[in-house]
Amino acid sequence: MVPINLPLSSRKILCGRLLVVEALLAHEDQIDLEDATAKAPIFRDAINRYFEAESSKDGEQRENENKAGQGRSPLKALDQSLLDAISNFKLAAGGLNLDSPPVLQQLLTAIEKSASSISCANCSSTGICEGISESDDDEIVARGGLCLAPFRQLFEVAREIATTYYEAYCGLLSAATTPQIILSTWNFENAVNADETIADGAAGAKTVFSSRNATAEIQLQFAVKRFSRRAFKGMLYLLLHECIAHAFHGLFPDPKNRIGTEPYDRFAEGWMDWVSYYILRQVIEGSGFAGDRWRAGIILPDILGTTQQMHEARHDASNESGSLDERKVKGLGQIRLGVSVAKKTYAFIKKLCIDHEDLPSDYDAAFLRLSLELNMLGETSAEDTNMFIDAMRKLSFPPESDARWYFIEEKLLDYLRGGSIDSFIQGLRTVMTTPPLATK
Amino acid sequence: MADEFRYKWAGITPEQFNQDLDEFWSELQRPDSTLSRTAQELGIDVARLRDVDRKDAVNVSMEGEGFGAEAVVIIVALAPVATATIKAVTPIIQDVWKHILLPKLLQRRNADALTPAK
Repeated sequence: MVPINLPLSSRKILCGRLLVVEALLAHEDQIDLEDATAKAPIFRDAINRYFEAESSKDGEQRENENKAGQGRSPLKALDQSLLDAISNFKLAAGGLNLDSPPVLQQLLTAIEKSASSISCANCSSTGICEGISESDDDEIVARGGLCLAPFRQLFEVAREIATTYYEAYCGLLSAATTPQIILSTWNFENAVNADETIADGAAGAKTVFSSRNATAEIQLQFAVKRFSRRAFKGMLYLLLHECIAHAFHGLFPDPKNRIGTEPYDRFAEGWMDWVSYYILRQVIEGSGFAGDRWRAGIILPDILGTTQQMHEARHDASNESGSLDERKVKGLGQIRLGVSVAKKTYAFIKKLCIDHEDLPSDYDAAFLRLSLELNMLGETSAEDTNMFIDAMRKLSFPPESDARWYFIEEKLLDYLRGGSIDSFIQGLRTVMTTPPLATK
Repeated sequence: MADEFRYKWAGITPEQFNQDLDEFWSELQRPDSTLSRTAQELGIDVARLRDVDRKDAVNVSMEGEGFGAEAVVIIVALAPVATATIKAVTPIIQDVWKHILLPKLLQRRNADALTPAK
């Protein structure tokens, strides 16, 4: 099925802003060296207004057609709109004094060069996007989509990373349970409304499942007029979270019956977000089992630092940004719990694997196997995963605190010795529904 | 009426929404169109809607006046007329709204154009 994508007018704004973002990223050091740090945002905002102006002209065209009782005629092509925006900016840019400092002129040259390399005619052999029928344009974007290529590439990397890790660590993956993961893109006039958002609502994502097969659609949301460097840097983390935490969720044994999780789910949004962040860190550092496989392709500066900030902001109790949405307020504590227990369980499993000769020495693999298999296990309710988190949390306290501690550890050891995830969860369920014995 | 959905005012008039729906409905009437193919892939039998007028299947109206966007609500009514013909295809209309028309409206008018009103 052809996924929905941003309509042509919105893509003009996003593509233009992305050209500016990429130029700024490529010249970050130069901007600081030439003391243009304060002037660069002025330049950025000024040129972005011209990309928006091109989109506004599309809106005016449609309005005029409507008033005249005419049908929709083709909009200006995206590549021409980009070049016209830059040309109009140059005509009006005298007041910005682009010669001082010189880096501003370099930025403009870089943006112009990149814009010239985008050719709608070369994008798809079956015609160019005209903005008459969004569905027809969606088919063109699906076959080519040069204007959205950087986002599609990030998505494909995220999908590949997630698939590779699940194939490596998750014994539940098979041909029947490997999902088809597709990408759609959406525009919001104001802030995005996904459960996962970055850069103050400039971008976000959510995953929806098909009830008919194992397809997961990752809806990448943009507030195109606010798209920023920060949003671009955080996009791989955003997409990887969707792929790892959601796209593979609940697939085993029957993908058709899986349902989504709540935005404040301890396991999906807390534990699995930490796992997603942990995997991304391995990928960027080249420290995981796949080594440097993806490292060379991740060229954005400071991506690890940005990812860490975004990950920590999701469960930062002092984070006052965003609305006081009741759902978000309720969710923060649950997400924090999931993250905290994931970290402590990782440390606990590491110690078990070191102390027990009959356990795998690769504690990393052991922890990831547990996380990914539990995530894939279908027919597991939120109560079950909350119970799992509660059980693992008990292991971070002294054994004397709860006599069930030893039973929980026993079940975990059985699992780590090659037991099934299903038996592990059933065993934990039995232990946790037994009232704790009084401690002396 | 089968279903009624209420949305917050986002600056788009019912006339604009209905005009969009007319275009999408017309596209659905053509078996060779992209939208028809999408419907087919989703298992939705849009052929049964070929003789159904758009207004009898889905219609957008507005409620409330006054100052401020909070006073105005956009209402989408599915199968607003209860004829035997419409009743027979109401499940298809509901599927078409959910899986095709609503996503296309959100694509064209922005994804926050139809935010459920409380």
